[in-house]
Amino acid sequence: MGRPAAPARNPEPMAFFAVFRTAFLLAVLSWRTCQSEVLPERLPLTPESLHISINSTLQHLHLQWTVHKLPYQELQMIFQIEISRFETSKVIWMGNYSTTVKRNQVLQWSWESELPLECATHFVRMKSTVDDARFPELSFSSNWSPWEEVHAHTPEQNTDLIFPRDKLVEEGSNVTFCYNSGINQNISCYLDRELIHGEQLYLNIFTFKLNNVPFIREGGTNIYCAVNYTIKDGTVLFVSKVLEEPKDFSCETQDFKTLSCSWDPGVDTGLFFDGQPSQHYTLFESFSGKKKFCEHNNQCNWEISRDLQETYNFTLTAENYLRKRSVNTIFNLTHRVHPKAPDSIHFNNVGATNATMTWKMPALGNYSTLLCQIELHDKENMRQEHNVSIKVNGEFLFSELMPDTAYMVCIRCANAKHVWKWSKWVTRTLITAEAAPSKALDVWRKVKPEKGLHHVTLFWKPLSKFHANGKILFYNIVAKDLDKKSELKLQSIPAPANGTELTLDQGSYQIQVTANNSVGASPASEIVISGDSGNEEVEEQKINGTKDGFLISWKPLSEDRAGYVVDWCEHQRNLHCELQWKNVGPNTTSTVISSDAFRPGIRYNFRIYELSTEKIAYLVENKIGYTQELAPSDSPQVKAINVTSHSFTLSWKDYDTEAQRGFIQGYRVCLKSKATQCHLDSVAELLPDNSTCCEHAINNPKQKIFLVENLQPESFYEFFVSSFTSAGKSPIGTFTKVTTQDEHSHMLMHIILPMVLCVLLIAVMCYWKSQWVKEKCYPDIPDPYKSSILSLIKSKESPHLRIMNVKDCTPDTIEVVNKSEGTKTQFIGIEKPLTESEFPKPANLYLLPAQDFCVPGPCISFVNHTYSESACDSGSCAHTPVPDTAPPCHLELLASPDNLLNTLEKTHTDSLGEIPAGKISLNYVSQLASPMSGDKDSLLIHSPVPVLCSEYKMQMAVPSCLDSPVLSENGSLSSMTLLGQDKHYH
Amino acid sequence: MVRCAGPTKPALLLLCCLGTWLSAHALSLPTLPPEDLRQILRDLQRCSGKLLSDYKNEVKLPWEMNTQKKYELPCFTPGFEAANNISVILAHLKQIMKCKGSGLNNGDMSYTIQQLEKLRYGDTLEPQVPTCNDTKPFDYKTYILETLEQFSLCMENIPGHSRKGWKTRSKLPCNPR
Repeated sequence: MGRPAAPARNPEPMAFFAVFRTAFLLAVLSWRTCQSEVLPERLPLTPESLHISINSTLQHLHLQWTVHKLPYQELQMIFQIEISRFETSKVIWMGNYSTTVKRNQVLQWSWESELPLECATHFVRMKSTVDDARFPELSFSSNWSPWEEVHAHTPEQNTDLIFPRDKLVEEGSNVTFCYNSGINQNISCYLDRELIHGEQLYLNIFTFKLNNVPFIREGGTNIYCAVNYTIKDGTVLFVSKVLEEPKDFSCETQDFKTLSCSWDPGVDTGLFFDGQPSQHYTLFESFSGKKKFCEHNNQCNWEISRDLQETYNFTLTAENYLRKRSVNTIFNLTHRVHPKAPDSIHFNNVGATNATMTWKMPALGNYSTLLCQIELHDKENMRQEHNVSIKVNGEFLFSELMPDTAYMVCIRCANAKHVWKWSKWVTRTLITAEAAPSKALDVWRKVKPEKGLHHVTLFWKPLSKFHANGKILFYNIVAKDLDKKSELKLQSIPAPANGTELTLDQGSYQIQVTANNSVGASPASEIVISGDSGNEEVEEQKINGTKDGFLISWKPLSEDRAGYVVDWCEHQRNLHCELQWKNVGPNTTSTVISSDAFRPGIRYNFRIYELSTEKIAYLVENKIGYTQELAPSDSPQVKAINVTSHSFTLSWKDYDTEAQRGFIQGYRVCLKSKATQCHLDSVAELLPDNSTCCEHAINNPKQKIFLVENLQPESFYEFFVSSFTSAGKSPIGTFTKVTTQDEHSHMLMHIILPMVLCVLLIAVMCYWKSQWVKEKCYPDIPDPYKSSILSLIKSKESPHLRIMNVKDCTPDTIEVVNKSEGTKTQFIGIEKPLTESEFPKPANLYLLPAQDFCVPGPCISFVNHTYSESACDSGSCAHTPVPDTAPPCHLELLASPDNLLNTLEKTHTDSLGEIPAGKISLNYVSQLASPMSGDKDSLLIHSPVPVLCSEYKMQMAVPSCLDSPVLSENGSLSSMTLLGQDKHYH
Repeated sequence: MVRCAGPTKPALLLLCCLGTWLSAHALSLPTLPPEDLRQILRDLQRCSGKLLSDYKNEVKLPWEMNTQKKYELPCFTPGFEAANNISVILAHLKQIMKCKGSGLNNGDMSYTIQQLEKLRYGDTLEPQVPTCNDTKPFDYKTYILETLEQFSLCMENIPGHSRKGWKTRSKLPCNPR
């Protein structure tokens, strides 16, 4: 955007104005020229003899000049200075230097160059101005001096490219480097392997500036330039840490001969390669004007003059190449006394309660008084503290010490007039001598009367170290019979012991117990055992304890009393009672018993005794309690007794309520049954397994029996009894099962029992009258062999007549009369026994003769139950004589199917063994002649009716065991077929 | 006459070279058992490499660049001059060790010098070498670098010995025992 165009003007007035302006300027210029030609002659105060020198290390230009023809002795002047670099026209600095110039004075002034002076030629000129109020007529400036050129000296090889060389700066400084690339256009420079991008300052001069340089390493930071990967030149920049002011500078003396000054030097500013040595320290004392170079960088010793200079003013100066730091201290020598530790410490005349300590203070001489601090410590605390003033040797008497006690004695000293520093503590151990025990033992007893004797168990508490006054070696027990006034030394018990047992008769005894160490015995502790001791009985009272213990109170027995003793067993459940006791004053009727040994759920029994003035203990009260009641840990073991159809009784008389973890307040009987509702005297209780039971409450802890009523006969019940304390119920365990009895079972018993008795009575009667009954009911069958008839026949008739032997008969087949179609089952060899239902009950059994029978007609047999008898002897069962006229039938015992089955089974099972003699039975079988003739194979359909053969033919005995008649000679069943109604057996 | 043929040729040649080198040393070096000599050489190889590597890391000099080779170290070559050369190397290393700002591990330097001393024969004179105080810092640093580079190169060129894998373990002390 351009400016708006100016409006058009008249050209004639503008031309006149331009000519006038030119003429005016020419006039002014001619006047100025005239003036400048006149002034040099009037003011000859121009700086002359300007000489410039270079300090490359400090990068300083040092200027020297004079002012000639000074009109006065001195003038206040201002010098205006200009410095150019590379060319005079490139002024890089202008400034004034104001000073008072004296006649013929050589003036000096320095300028520090930021750029290393080796990198550029510098030019300097100056002019002066009189600035003196006394001579206002001289207030004008001189001419400029001519330019003076200055160039820093470079090494002769002229190979150095980088400047400054090995410069030392402090941490945080700014450093400017320059390098001359010369003809090498591809030069590159690095700072610790990092490429530096320099700024071209002039032609081939490049520069770069490092600001706030850090300390990296003592060896310095490497800066180098390379051409074509070949190092041409390099230098090291040494960065020093900043020198710190010495801290905690102080001086002191331990012997008035040497002052030892020390300080904290701070960081070490030393650098390697002679970059800079570590800072050094100088000590200067202003009053004496002496100076000392310190060998160490943290301490320096200063010799005290013999005249004992009283006051010292020290200046400590730390110095390195770059900086100086100083600190100062002024002090009075006697205020800087730091004594050495006391030595030669000894304890003399060490007794039980006192001892003397001596010591010496080294090297201080008699120059000052010392204050010594003595501390006496026992194992726990400092017991005594004393301050003692001494010169050289010290002595102190310790008193009120405890016998047989190890003390630690600590001592230190300082100058008494002015405590500068205490000496180091010196510690020694002091052990006092033993003394007799100072206190009577605390003794208590437990008395157990038995068989006219008193078993006394004595307990005592060991004396504290404070009262023992040495190592207790033994305890003496002396018993005195108060009735007989005789003394009996009973025992000397070696330590450590805290009790013993005595057996005394039932008289009254005074027992004295003393503790003894190497020096002597303690005061005697007395206790009296009266004849009644141990027999006291008082009612137990329940008390409630807390975590803090038990508050026990009691009522005094008598007015005249020496005190009370409360005793208890600390570990109640252990068989061994650790008896504890507490002594209570005579005017106290309550106390708190507390112990770390008290545990919740443990019953503690506290007995309160009143001690008479004669030291006799009377039992006052007996209290039991828990610090904290817990729920019972186990439930009662319950038995169910007296089980009837409608009730049973639960009993847990063995349950020990005293061993529980709280006072048992009662029981809960939990009854489970099929009934859905509980009786009125119980409540439904939900069990952990979500089942319910009817719970009966028993709130009397002494009731350990419970009758469960209103039950159903022949019903199943489960019950569980739990006890409970104030803290809760005992855990629920396994339920016990009970089944109630049948309701009529007792009635049956009432009927069956008399019946059985009656039967037994009849049986006895029968047995008693059996001979009579036998004779009356079934007399003995006559033996044909023994018959008188036989002898008559033998003598009168044919000699061929004889009795037929059963063995000579061949058994007939047995056929069932009522034969029907059915399966035929072979009986012999059946392993599976037939049941009663399977086996048909035959109406009758018939023995049919075989084909080759000795008798032409068959005969029908039947069982005569009347003659069944179970006893027979072996002789009668062997051979039964049969007359020749009798049909040759082999008759068997045929009884009921049960009998038969039993018999067969026995035959089968007993065939491998013997048959007990008692089991052989004798049966009488009557045999009738068969009226039937004809086909012997024809079956009998109707019941056998004795017709023609109805007369009695023969009676013979057959053993029921079937051995003889049935078994053949080889022991096998010959041929027998059992025929039933539906089955046919072969 | 025995003729060598096949793959055994290079092996025999190597053996011959090593034997010659060792026998040449045996003439000019103290009479050490061959196994001890081998162990010393192995130690020197390892230590020279480690010293150079540590120095480069510590001083931050451009080891990938060439220096102007102002200082020449005689190499560890066989022959009767070996003892003299060892003395020259020893002189340089001892002087370097004196320089506080070298940044080299004193233990490694001591062990290297100790091993070289074992090879030193007789009381050979130690030459004048640049000192830390008389030389400009950057030049001295360069001198140490050049010395260690040449020493390491010489040791590397000893036939039959290799120090492969030592750069990765340069943080371990040079002394193996």
